[in-house]
Amino acid sequence: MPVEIRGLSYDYDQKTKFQKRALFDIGFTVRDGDFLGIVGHTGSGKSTLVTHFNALNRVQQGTVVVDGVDLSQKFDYKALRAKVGMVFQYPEYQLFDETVYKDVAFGPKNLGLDEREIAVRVEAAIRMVGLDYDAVKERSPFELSGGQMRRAAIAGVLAMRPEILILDEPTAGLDPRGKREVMRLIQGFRAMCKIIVMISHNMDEVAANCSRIIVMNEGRVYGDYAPEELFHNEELLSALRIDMPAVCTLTRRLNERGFSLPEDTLDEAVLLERLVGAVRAKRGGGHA
Amino acid sequence: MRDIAIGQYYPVDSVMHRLDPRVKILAVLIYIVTIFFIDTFIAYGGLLLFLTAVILLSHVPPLKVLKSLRMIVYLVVFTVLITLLFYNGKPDDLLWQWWIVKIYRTAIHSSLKMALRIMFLIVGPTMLTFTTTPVALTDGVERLLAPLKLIRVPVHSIAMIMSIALRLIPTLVEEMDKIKNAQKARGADFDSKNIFKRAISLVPVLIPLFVSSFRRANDLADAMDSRCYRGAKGRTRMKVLRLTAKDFAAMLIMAAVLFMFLWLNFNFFPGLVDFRALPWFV
Ligand SMILES: Nc1ncnc2c1ncn2[C@@H]1O[C@H](COP(=O)(O)OP(=O)(O)OP(=O)(O)O)[C@@H](O)[C@H]1O
Ligand SMILES: [Mg+2]
Repeated sequence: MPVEIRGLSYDYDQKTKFQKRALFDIGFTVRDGDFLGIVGHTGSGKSTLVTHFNALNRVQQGTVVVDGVDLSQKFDYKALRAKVGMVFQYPEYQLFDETVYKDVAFGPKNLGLDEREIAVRVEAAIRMVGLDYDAVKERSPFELSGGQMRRAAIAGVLAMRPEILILDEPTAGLDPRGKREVMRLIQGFRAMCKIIVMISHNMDEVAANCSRIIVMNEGRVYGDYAPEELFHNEELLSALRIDMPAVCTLTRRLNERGFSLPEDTLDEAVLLERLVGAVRAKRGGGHA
Repeated sequence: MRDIAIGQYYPVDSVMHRLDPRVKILAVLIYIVTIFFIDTFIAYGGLLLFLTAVILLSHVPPLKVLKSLRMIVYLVVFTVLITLLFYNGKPDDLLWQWWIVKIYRTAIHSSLKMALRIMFLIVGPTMLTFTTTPVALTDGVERLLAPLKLIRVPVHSIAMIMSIALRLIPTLVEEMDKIKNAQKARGADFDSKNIFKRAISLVPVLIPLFVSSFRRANDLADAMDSRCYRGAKGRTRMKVLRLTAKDFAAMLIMAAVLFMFLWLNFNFFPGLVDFRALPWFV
């Protein structure tokens, strides 16, 4: 179920004196199996762009086609929002119900599913985000810790079993360990969701997880890259004013100090393995 | 946020904008009291002229001012209808009758006056907020209420609460938009035709909104505390309000205008000019 975007432009406060263009002639296609990262500076239009996917922003100019449904025409909102799940920035601020169970069940209920199906989905979703179902289901979401609240909120979206999952800075405001855990969970969602789109300011996360990266700049798509292509290209990164992921920085520093590690991986584990190999080879070489 | 007309500052430069907020607040108070005192069309006409002058002087587009009346259209229509239908006048004023519906000439006058009154009541204070920033407004209120400090009214705290509330309205509206979008993404339907369903559908928006208001309040209190805010004691101001010549002029004009209205309305000097003798004086 691809998402095709063609010639999309969007104005906030259209036809008022506050009118401001947030998107200019955007076009690209997201295909099944993509884990798309969207990066760009604050105000570059990332959130505006992705809220078109589930029609929270109506198409003003251009077309957005989600799984064959043209969002610039009349269509079934409920069906679209069942298909496209969206986790907003700081999703824990949207928790509202008495218990975690009821809160997670809000989405499936709105889809009009029957109680049994809802129960199955809620339990699966709560487990999928790594919470202890029996311990949290009857608790108030407001009693949970920050990290747990975020997971509960993500479960609320997963329980709708979306085929396309959109995450707007899912790890913002978490500590490094929390970030890692949430990213690991998101990797796990790939089994369920055909497409994952993630907005992030954290290049380490993007480099380690995304299969494709779109760079936004002032409301336009600046480029559409494979991770290695983007993150190992220092000129490109500095032109785009994007930080280099820690893995690449580390590889470079090591190479400056006499190693000659290949600059083609974004995977910490691979780097570590190569480094160990290189150190061993050096030592071995020294002894010989 | 941007389509809420009342309570919104219109940022241009004009004489009205530059007047001291205290003068403007007092003027609006006098204006409101005047509206309640006068009940003749001739005085309303005078009021209309006065308002037109104020609007023109303020450089706020007249259309924008009219838009502030949009939200009371129903109220006005409703009031007019009720007055027209249920007014009990003298038999010789009866204009038209059908079944139990009786329309009196006096009812038409009275409902028109009522409508004018409501509209005047809205436009006046709207002009105040169009030409005065929230900060200046609360400053003015604080200064005007200052005498109440003598009887231990916490004037400074009241003004502070007011300015914080005004400052946070747009923030809360923005927050509400966000939460609404998030719940929409989870399939919530806020556009149900059924009014009860619609009210209930707001629960998932209002609860997070309350929670975040409390969180915000806490954060703000901490931030103020950590900058040593201790209320009014020993606090000086960066911008001290000072009355200038134009403020005194405005007050004089206001007094004159007030006197004019009352004269028009109550016909103080029948020997000099007798408004009541005019054929259209009602
Ligand atoms: N509700 C709104 N009303 C008016 N303008 C808006 C609104 N939301 C966003 N904008 C403007 O649209 C532009 C794009 O905003 P958007 O939120 O899409 O950026 P973003 O890339 O998601 O930024 P961030 O990384 O800070 O989340 C910005 O210039 C912003 O000021
Ligand atoms: Mg954003």
